[in-house]
Amino acid sequence: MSFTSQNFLFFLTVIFAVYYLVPHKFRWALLLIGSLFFYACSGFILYILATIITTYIAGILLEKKRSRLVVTAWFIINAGWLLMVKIPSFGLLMPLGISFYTFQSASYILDLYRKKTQIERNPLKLALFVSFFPQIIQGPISRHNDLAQTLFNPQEFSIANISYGMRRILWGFFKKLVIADRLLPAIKLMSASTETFTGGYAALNVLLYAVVLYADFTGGIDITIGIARFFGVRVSENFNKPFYSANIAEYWRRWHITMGTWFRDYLFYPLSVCRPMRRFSKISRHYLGNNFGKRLPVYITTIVTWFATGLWHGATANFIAWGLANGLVIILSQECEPLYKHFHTKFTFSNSRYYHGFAIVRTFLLMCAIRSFDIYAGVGTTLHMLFSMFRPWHAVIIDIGLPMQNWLVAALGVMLLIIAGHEEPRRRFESLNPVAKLSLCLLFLCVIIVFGVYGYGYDANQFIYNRF
Amino acid sequence: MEKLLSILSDLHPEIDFSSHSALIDEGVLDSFDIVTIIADVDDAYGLSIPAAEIVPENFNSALALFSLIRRLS
Repeated sequence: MSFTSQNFLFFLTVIFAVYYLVPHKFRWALLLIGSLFFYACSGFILYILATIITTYIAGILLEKKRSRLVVTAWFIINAGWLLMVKIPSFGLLMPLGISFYTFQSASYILDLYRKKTQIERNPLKLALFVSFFPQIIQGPISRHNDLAQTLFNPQEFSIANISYGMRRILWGFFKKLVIADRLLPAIKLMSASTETFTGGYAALNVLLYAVVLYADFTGGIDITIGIARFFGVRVSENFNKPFYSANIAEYWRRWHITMGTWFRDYLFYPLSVCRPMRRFSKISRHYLGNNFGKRLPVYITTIVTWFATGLWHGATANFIAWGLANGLVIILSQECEPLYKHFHTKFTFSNSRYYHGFAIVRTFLLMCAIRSFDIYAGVGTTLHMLFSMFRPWHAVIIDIGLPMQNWLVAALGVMLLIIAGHEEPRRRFESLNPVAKLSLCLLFLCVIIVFGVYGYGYDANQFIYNRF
Repeated sequence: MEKLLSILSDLHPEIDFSSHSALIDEGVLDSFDIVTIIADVDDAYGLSIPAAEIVPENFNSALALFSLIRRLS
């Protein structure tokens, strides 16, 4: 049941109609019933039940004794299973949202072990924490400390919450149906026919993919946050204007934030401070000097973390190459840091906003290039397509499957995205009276109905991040 | 405290660590800086900061980090 399906809208309406009629302290139970029903519709309920049961048992055991063995056993069962469904050669079907709920459960187990969160003794409440339906499809990956507080003690009914939730949902649908799904056919066509669409078309493809992925993923998260707010639940933000980042490390602090912080807190930091790495750091400093010797262990940890991040997206050569490429660029920019500093002191224009604009465009293009591992099948094909962009482009116009109205609608949509990304228009909207706000929202709904890609019999494209 | 301030200033000479109180919240220190500081603290004080202690509250200011070091030692 996709967020953009009619069935989902019906399901959401039913739950919402009943939710505020139920006494406050039992509302979470209704969300649990809804979540399990939602998940049962995907046909993979046994998998998530297995995660809920093992997480509950591990939690109880960890409360009795802070044991590494319990954590290891939990990881062998759940992460092992996750890895198996990620490896294409096993031929297993991937259960809906398995990466997201497994990682969320893992953070609960690790936080319990670190005594950073309270145990959830009620198995049904734990089941809701793992399976909360708005965020199960594509995150965000919430921490138990944050989510449990709002999930089991939601805010009372308020017009402000409903209005905010409605706006986020509309905005999400706009991004998904009016922008992403309008452009997706061109990407599908150009990514499949790699012999035809090389050079300029490959460049166009990676640029379009940046727009589609952003609109699709952030649109899905907008819908998630909006739905949760309907129920008085506050879910973490997952994006902070990532395309305005001036370097790749900053980009990853602003894109898919909850995944980035997960890998940082539960893999990068523990690996960096573990005893073998500390010992290696001392040896490295002894032989390589205090500067590079200090950085080398951090770089090794960075590569391991990015290798794992690639694996999280899929156990294929493409995603591993994608992860390693991210890690290498981050290390390279870290190594060039003294050069940058020297450059900034020598050339004062580098502190101007024009240079900052240049850095943003540079980061955007670099990320487009790295993202091409996610677009094309096979590392060889991806590299071939990337290199073709630097060879002379053939001035032949080929139909890429997008009628003029799609271009026009998507272009206007992107312009609206850019405008809405600024503070001033948002502030102006917030200062409007409720009637004007409602009228604008209704107008926006009409825009989605008129320009969105949907309709009877039309199967709206699944969210791209579903597959992770 | 002097030793700690010197470790921090070596990393970012442009920052006044004696007064800054939002080093993590304002993005002054990133994850690379954090692990470098932890390695330097290990050298200078002979103690290891566990991963569970790497939270913004312990790294937002030199004073908070110093309290952590005292607590761990």
